[in-house]
Amino acid sequence: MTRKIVELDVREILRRKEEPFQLIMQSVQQLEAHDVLELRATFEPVPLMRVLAKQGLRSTVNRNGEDDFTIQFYRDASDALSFWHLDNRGLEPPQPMVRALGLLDGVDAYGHGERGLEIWNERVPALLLPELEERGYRYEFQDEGEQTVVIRIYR
Amino acid sequence: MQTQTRATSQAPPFALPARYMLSGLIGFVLFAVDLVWHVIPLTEGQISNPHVIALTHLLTLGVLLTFVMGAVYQLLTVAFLIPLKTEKVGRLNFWLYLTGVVGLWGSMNTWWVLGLDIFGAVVVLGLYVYAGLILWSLSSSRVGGAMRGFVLSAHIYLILAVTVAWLLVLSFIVPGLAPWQSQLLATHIVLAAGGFFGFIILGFSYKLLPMFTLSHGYSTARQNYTQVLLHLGLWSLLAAAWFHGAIWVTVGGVLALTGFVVQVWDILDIFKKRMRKRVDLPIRVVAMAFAIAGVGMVAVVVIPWTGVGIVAWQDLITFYLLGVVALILISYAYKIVPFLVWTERYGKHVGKAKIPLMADLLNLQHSRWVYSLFGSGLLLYLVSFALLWPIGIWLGAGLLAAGVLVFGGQMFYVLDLRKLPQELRGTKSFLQGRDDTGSEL
Repeated sequence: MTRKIVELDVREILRRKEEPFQLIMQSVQQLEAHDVLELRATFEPVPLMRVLAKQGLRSTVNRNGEDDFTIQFYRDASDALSFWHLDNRGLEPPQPMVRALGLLDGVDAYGHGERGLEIWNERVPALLLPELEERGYRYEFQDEGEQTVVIRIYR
Repeated sequence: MQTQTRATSQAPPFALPARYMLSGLIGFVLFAVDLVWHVIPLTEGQISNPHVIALTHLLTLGVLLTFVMGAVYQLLTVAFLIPLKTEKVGRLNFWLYLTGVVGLWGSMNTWWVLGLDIFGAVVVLGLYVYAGLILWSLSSSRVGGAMRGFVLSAHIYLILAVTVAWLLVLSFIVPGLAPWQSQLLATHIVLAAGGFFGFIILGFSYKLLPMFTLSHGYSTARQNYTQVLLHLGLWSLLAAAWFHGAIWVTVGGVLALTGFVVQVWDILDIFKKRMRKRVDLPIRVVAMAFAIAGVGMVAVVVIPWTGVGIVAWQDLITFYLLGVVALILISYAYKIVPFLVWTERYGKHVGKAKIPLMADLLNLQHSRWVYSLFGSGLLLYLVSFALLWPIGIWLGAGLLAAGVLVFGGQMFYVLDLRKLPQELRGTKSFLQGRDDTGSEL
């Protein structure tokens, strides 16, 4: 399980009108090649996204509420489509499939082809594939060993 | 010789569950043939006839238990997120158990007492090893909940059922045990049919039904009530076996009936909260089979007060084993056998080559032929057996056997017997060397 999603919630820091930039950069520096930084903030941090883009980090933003945003930063030079990442390893079936389909069915960006979904599973989700086909999604697999199969789902 | 690799990082093992499932399917085909072949003693209501006893144990040991063992070996990884502690012991135990069951079946058919003792002991040993291996493996799983309770209980009841069976065999040799033969027989049946088969299919259903319907957000609060109700029901029926009280039977039946009603309630909730747009026919049949089990429990409640004889209980046991346990296993087989085969044969080639989907391995709509033949045959057989109507028993057995044969054919088609021997030996992967181009896919 080499790759991981590092979670960092800076909403309280921002509400106290303090500056979380240093903390964020420390987390960024600790990221391995395939890691994802998942940042929770009270607004969409466009300047930060620009800074990190110059360091080769792409970003995907999810708005959870009025002042609640989740932003994932990750390294990927392969394509133009941005991906949201789900780490399903360690979850009991059918949770990995349910989480993936919940996003694909519930968020328009996936259905409109504006965003892809990258899930990290422990095994090939045989039961998920017919559901993806039925919904018109394409998928790519990469078995990395160490209980990690990476599946990229997109339109 | 190349070593076979697993389909993914933590894919379930293939050869071990596949061996058991294949053996169970071959056993089922033999059962269908044997049922028709030895239908005469059944038409005469000779339930103690050696062929009838052999037929019953071919079904329970050679078909249902063998298939369940394969499924449990497969589901340990999927449901409990753990590997089997030692696959080598599981593999060796397969041959031990298979030898025991074949020998026991032959010995029962000819009523060779020494053979019964020897092969009975081998089967007992094989089942102890199996149950011990599963309990040992489960000890390292962190997955909790009702499913764990059901599966642990099932294997403890299996150990007890096997022990009681051994005492029953001993009772023919040891004079001190002879007076308890009927109690031991009833205890064995309740522990094996209710304690093992009932608990194992209920337990895994809590995992398999949400998996196959992609359900979430359903209530799990009632699952422990089901577990308690069924334990109490079982113990009440065990008490009935030893104290001969009709009231114990009725109480046991009411408790088990309530347990099955709660279970059906849970299943409907799972179906309601599903993400799959349609529920496959076999999964709908599983739900129906649990409702049928409830009907069986109504019979348990009523039979003691009707004055009908042993034939009614024999009919009820047949109803439970074929109409509930076998029907549920057939239905799950439609999902888990293609899952096992697909994962082994194609899972490691996903994304590298064009491969079929799991649904392409078998059209599940074709299962309706099996259900029609099996269901109508069983119904006709049960009614005719109760009325001791020979022609109906003949016809019912014939239809039921035809259903089993069609089912066997479908499963052998999925397993693809041309590829399976090499895969079972672990010497060749189906797509080995072809996945770069996919030209032969």
